[in-house]
Amino acid sequence: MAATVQIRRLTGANGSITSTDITSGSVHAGTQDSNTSPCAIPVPTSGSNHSYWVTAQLNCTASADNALNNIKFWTDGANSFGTGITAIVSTASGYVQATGTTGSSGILLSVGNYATLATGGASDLFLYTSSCKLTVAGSLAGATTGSFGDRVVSQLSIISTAGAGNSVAETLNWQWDES
Amino acid sequence: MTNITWQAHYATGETVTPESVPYAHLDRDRLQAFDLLQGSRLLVRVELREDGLGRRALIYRKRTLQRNDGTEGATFYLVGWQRVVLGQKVQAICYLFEDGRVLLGGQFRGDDELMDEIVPFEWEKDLV
Repeated sequence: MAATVQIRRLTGANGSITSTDITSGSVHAGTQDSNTSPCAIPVPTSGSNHSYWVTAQLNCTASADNALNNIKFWTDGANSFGTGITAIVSTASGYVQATGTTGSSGILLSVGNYATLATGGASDLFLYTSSCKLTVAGSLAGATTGSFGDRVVSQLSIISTAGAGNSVAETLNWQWDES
Repeated sequence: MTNITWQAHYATGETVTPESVPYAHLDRDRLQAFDLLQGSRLLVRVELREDGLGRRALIYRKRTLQRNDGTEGATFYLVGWQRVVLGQKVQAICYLFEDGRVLLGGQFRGDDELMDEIVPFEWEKDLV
């Protein structure tokens, strides 16, 4: 057993996806499809503005002896982003590029807008805790490398009560088994 | 905990290692015992011989927790067995941590976040 697994963020158009290693760094949810220097989400005067959704997936760069499976994802259960900021998450069997109006708002993460999103759509990110983890389907069989498992897709939304500036960072947890 | 490896003992007296038999190819019907070792030092032995109470099926995984902020998660090993008692699956699992601690746990889905149940691979038909 000697698998090396990274957490990667997926951006860009289908067919030319950019896969960025985010294992050891912060991920910014802004209003453009990019993992670097994202546009901030404007605080609306009414309604809500959304980040472009953030798509993450595990990637095996050094293979296990046999296989990887049983992927889980969770948070600490407490939304520390700040007033007026919420987050949702779901899994997806495929990749759909995040879109919206740059500098303004992403389109809502929903089954209608993200075709391969899990049935039932997205739920509150902070519902998933260490005792109630989000199950991420998929595995990597054999002594192979590459991306595996469904994508975990998340999105922030803000309303008029949110304060300006960077939100507090949240730690997201992943888990997988190897044989 | 580094340099963790395993060896398996068959009823014939044969001992196999990952170098001779991949884990996926272990003859699970012939297993008598399964060891986790650190180098040559035996850490845990799981006895799988028939004890008159029914078959015990081997469970073995390396489980990794990773945070997305770069802070160290955790890596630990699950080793133990599962059997069916009165129609229910019952587990006895040892959890080995990198600092040398060994936790003897019971059923999967216990109160501890570590104790998520495994998802059997296709070659673990005795765990399904």
